[in-house]
Order: sequence, then C-alpha cells, then structure tokens
Amino acid sequence: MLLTVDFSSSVPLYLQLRNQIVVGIAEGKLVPGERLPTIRTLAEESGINMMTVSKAYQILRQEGYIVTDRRNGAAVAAGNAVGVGSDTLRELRVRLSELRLSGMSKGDILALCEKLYEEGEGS
Amino acid sequence: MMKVILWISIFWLAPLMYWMLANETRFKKNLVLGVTLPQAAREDADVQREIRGFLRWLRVICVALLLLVVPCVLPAADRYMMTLWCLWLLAVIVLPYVPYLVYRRRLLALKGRRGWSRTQRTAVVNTSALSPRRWLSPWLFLPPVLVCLVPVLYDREMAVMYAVMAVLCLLFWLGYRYLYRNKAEMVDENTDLTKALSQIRKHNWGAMWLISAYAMAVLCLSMSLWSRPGLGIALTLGVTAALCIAAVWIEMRTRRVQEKLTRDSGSDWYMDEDDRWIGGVLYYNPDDSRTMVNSRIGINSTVNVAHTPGKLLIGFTLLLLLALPLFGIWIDGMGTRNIDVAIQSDQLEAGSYTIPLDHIADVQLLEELPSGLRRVMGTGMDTLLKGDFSSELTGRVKVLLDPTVGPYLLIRTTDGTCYLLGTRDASATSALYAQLAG
Repeated sequence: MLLTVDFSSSVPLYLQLRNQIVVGIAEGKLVPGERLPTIRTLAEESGINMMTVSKAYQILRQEGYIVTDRRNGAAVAAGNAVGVGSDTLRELRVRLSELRLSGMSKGDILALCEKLYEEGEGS
Repeated sequence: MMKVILWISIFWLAPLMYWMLANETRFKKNLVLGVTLPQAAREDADVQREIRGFLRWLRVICVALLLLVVPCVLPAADRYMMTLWCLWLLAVIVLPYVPYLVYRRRLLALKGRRGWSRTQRTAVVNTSALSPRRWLSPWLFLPPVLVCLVPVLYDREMAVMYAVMAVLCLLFWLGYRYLYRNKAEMVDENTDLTKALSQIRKHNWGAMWLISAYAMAVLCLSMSLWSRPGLGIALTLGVTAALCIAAVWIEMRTRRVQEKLTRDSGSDWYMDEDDRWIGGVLYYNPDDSRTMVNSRIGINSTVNVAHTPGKLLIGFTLLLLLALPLFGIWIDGMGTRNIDVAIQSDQLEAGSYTIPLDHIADVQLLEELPSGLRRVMGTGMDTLLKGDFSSELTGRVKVLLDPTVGPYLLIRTTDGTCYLLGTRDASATSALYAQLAG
C-alpha cells in the first residue's frame, strides 16, 4: 500500500497517516495480520518525526485497527469490529451537511456513498 | 620519481569523470542528467538533443583536462609541481560538472514546458516493500582487523600506524552498519521493483565496505614491506588501484542493474523529487528530518543541506576543495625555501629542533644519505625530508634536509637522540660541521 504524506496540507501529519491506514484496511489494501512498518522505519522512509508516527500508531491501536507488540512491531488487527465512535458520527454529520448545502439531494448523496463504497470494495 | 607517482595517481580522474557523467545520460530510475522524466520523454527529440549537447561539452572539457597534464609534467613546471597538481585536481572535480548543471537546467525547463513535472511537497511510502533489516555478521570484518595487526610482530617501530589501520577496518564495519539509510528505492508504485532495487542497493553497500576492509588489510601488509625497495610501493599502488576499480565497478554495476530494472518504469505514476535536489547533486528538503540520505542513483549517500549538520558538512567539503590550490602553493614553498640550520649562542637550531651544544656527543659529515632511509612520520618530498625517519646506520633519526644537496650532518646527542641535518648550501653545511667539530 502506498502512503502519501502531504507536508503542505493543513491536516496534521499523524492524522494523514491514521486516515490512510484506516482507508487501506477498509479497502482491503492492508489485510488482517499484515505487518506494518516499524515506527522507526516509517519515520525514516517518510522523513517525518518518529514521535509523529508513534502518535498515529497509538491512535490506531486505541481505535482497534492495529495491534502492537514490543518485539514484532505493528500489524493490522485480525478483526476490525470497531464501533462507530461519537467523533466519527459528528464528522459524518458535518460532511452530510456540506453535501446538502452544495445542492445534492438525498438520492444523490446515497448514490455517491454507494459508489465510493463499491470502489473501496473493488480495490 | 615523486612527480611521476603524483600524476599517475590522478590523471585517470579525467576519463573517469567523463565515464561517470556520461553514464548520467542513460535512464536509471526515471532519471537522466538528474532530471526525472516520464517514459514518454525517453525518445523525445528535444531531450535527445540536450543529451547530445551535454556529451559534446563533457568530452571537450575532459580531453582538454587530460592534455593539460602534458605541460604539467615537463621539467620547466617542477618548481610549481604541487600547485599545478592541486589546481588540476580541483579542475577535474569541478569543471565536468559545469555542462552537467547547464544541461540539467535546460532539461528542467523543457520538462516544465512539456508539463512533465509531478513535484509536490509529499513523501510516498510503499508499506509492502519494506523488508526487515538483515545485516552482514560483524565477524566478517574481524579477519582484516587481525591481518592489520600481524606486521606489529616484526615491525614495532610502525606499530601505531598498523593499529590505526586495524581501527579503520573496525570503522568500516561501523560505516557499513550505521551510515546506511534504510529508505526504500522507490521509483513508481511497483512493489516488487521497489523491493528489488532496495535489496540491490543494500547488498552492494555491504560488498563495498567489506572489500574496503580487506583491501585495507592487504595495504597494511604491503606497507610493512616498504623497506624492500619496489615491492612495498608496487603492492601499495596495486591495492589502491584495485580498491578504486572495485568501488567504480560496484557503483557502475548497481547503476546498470537500476537501468535494466527501471527500463519500463515511469509510464504512469512516478516519483518526482527534482525540486529537492539543488543542481541534481545537493539534497535540500526541510520536510525531511534526516541528515544522511541515499544518493539518487548508485549506492552512495549524501547529506540533507536543509539542516545545520548537512550545511556544515557540505561547507567543510567545499572549503577543503577551495583550499587545494593554497595547499599546493604552501607545499611548493616548503620545497624551495631555505633550510635554516645555524648555531645561536650555545645551541644548534634546525627548524623545530633545538640541540644544546654541550649535549652533542658526536658529529659526522656524510657525503651521501644513509642507505635504507625511510620515513616514519613527517614529510618526504623530492627536495625536502623532515620529521622522524629510520635507517640501518642510525636507527631512529630526526631529519631536516634537502636530499638533493649534500653533505649532511649526522649528530648524536648524549641522550642517544640522532639528528640528520643539512642546508640547501653545501658550503654552509661544511662550515657548520667545522664549527661543531672544532
């Protein structure tokens, strides 16, 4: 899986890493049990600080997307039965509002969601 | 003799620079002349024209540099030998890069006009291509360390030098282990390609450091044979040449494999980091926290000049390069300046040596230098010997003289120290002997 870190983006670097790994897992680009690069390796590869990578991994572990082991590093969690948290629901509500305000109907929004969902499954 | 060795040691840099830079005109990892270009650009007529222009100028410069060696070795240039040598060395390092920088710039402009640029402030990591680290065993570096220490058994006088060389072999292991940047060799989204390129780089990196350690061991053995005329020098030159050839061979082999593997790369998505390379040579990326980074092609490493340590390292290197001509002038001056050996009140002063007259036990006037005189530590030029030497006649001896102008004063002091001194005026040395013997 290709991870892209955009240094000019307003989204914090740790969040960029976290979001891409979550999307990667959802789209099947990262499969359960797959080893992730160690914090040091990912920091060296991307050129970003080890603390930043560590923060992204910490969040992913807390959310249950990955498991970490002192000896074997990080790996994608076997099951991704992570409940939808309040933060995610709040974020979803904001995005839905944005789409409605842009003039899209309920049907358009659902069609868009379905398309994106299928793209994720297909990749 | 020294002049011939000096020029033999560097004249080949001109064809080597030509070969190295001409090699940059072949596509490796989507790069040509340090510019990232897509697959479609490889056969582009304008790109090919710029490449031909670069090769033409490079050829002119390298041939001119090679021809310049001829007047430099003529006897008329002897007085300025080291200055000319240093100037030529600086020129051969710098001048071939001029057409490289000019034509790289032209190629970048062409790339911009054609809309081939993909540069963004991003870093891309292929998580699937990151293999776990495996290193060569440090025990592989132990034999050369031990071999370096063998001459200590029969040549105690030079023990420090052999120990330093043994330590260097250990440093080669440290260099291998800790200077390597673990960044994957990524040129496009192809995971297998990234893995293969990364493994090739790492394998050759290890080979280079290991060969260096073993070459150092052979060099150490050959230096211990320097007392046997011809054999030691021949071995040392041989090992040095073999080491240079091995280094170039490994670098070129890596580039050849990179070229072969990336022949079809860059047709769709490709890594474009051109804006992070100043002149295609210096890495500048404030977003990258590392100081040491991989060079763009081959197996070398370089520094990130966006950070202070990188700036300091590059600044120091540039300073050394620019100081080369001054170094040459200084050395030439040493070879021609007067050698002051004179009696001042109650002591004999010769350069940094001061010998109280009442400490002198014996003085001899030698018409020729003692046979087998060899340098332990100091300067050994055609017209100046200075520092600690040793010979069969004298054992360890402190030397300050011009070997082309005899006679020489051999002085032994009451504490057993031996001095071999001479000025650049034969009559002055004889007069000094008369004074000391009288």
